[in-house]
Amino acid sequence: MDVFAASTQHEATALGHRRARDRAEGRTIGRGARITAFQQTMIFWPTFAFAGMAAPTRTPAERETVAPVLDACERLYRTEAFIDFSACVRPHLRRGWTFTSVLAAVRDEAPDVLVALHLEIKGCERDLRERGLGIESRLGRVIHVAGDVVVISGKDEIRRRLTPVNVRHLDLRPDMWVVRERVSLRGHSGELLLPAVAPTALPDLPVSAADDDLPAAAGGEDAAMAEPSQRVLAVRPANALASNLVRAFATENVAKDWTSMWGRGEGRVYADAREAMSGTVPDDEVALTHRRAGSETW
Amino acid sequence: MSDDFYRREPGPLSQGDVVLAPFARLMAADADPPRGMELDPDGLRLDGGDLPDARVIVKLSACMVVSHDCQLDKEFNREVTRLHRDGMPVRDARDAAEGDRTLDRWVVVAPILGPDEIAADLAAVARGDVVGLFHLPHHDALGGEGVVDLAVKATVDRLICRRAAGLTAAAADLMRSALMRTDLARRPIGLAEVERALGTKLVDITVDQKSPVRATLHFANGEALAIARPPHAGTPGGTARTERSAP
Repeated sequence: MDVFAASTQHEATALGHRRARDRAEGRTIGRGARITAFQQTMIFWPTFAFAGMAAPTRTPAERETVAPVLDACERLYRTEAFIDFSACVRPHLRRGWTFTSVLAAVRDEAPDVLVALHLEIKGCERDLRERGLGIESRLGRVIHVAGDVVVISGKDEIRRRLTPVNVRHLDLRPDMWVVRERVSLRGHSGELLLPAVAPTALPDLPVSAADDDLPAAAGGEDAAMAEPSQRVLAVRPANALASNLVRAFATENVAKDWTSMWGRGEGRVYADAREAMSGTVPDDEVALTHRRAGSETW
Repeated sequence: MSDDFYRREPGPLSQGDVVLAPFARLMAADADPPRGMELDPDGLRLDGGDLPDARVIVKLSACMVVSHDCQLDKEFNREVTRLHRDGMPVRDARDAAEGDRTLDRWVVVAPILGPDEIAADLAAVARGDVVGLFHLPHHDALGGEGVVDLAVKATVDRLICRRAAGLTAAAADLMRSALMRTDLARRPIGLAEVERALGTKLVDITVDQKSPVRATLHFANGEALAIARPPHAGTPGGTARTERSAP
């Protein structure tokens, strides 16, 4: 996955915001006002654009370092693939939009557009790598957020505590899928956390270099990581008592008669009904006087 | 394993039976977990629509059936009645309803906690002094003592439960009393109100020795009234979140 949503910078070509694009034209990583879409601040970005955040741009020399990234962004945003992608996304930036919902809509309406954009971004990344840009992506899920510290977990790795540079700008919530980006450029590096789509929510989206972190497919060993509609949870015992009960059933230490949740049987027959069956009570009176044998509180 | 507390014969599913069931809780998806619970990344997230998103936490739990016996057979009874009224003999109607697995599916259960999972003193729970908790003595299938958290309940489908044990009539009475105290009446009944309502004086109260919850009120006019005796409630006090909160 190589297109993410973020709220950290102000993108010259922010989708759906012509005025913002005009205002920031030519500055792919600008420093203007925040751009929102119906009060939601997430904007679509290619991953490599964040390399510009990792590197300082205070001095001319530093700005020169970042220049290749800016150039790549500008090139990307002029490509037919990105323009098509913008056109597809814009109508779906309605109130309450989510990253997943927008990408799902684009996937359904124009899957070729996503593939084309993916290929363009891959091309930009290749060029930038040759010029010293390093991108290391890891997909994970937010476990806990406490101030500047975010705890995420990823496949085959234990929980990691991160202090991403953009944490204060993100609306991170537990269980949210994120991409942990380590970007480096000419000796400068930084860590970003970007909201991402659950890997199995859009299974036919183009994949990227970070895809070794993705589950193979919904229903595989990582099926529990899928979206709710596809998930089958393994329900674990709550405590030792529950575990003991599981073992007791497994070893048949609980008699089969006990395990049944049904079997109303003779003990469940109303006293009046039983008498009716033996002929002591007229059959047509039975239904009016249901009462379980031995029960005083029917 | 106490024969006074756990019955030997299974019989039909009854209030107080111990079952293994998936126990679900719904909690806010984006808030810190409730005190005493850990974040569970495996919980299912639900889109709350106009409400905050929710997370479903499900654990396989030892539980106690708290649905009343009559509730457990309510649809069964109605079906027997309907079939019988339609001309089916009672025995056949009962068999037909017995075989209908769409009836009486919902069962309300309360989770059984381990002694180390409760904040209260286990001895106090065993004495019945702690509102909301009901003590279970050792049972072989449970592998130890347990404490039913009567303040937390969930509705489960009968089809996804398995039963392991059941209470004797006396123990079930104790459980019902604890349940009543948890959900309904934390104060003893006002006997003066009973006297005024009946227009006669209360002269004696006898308590069933086998089932201390059962009591009989004897009145001056010769009438007797069998009741389930409300348990003792503590003296109200301490910080109260609501006016009716009891310690």
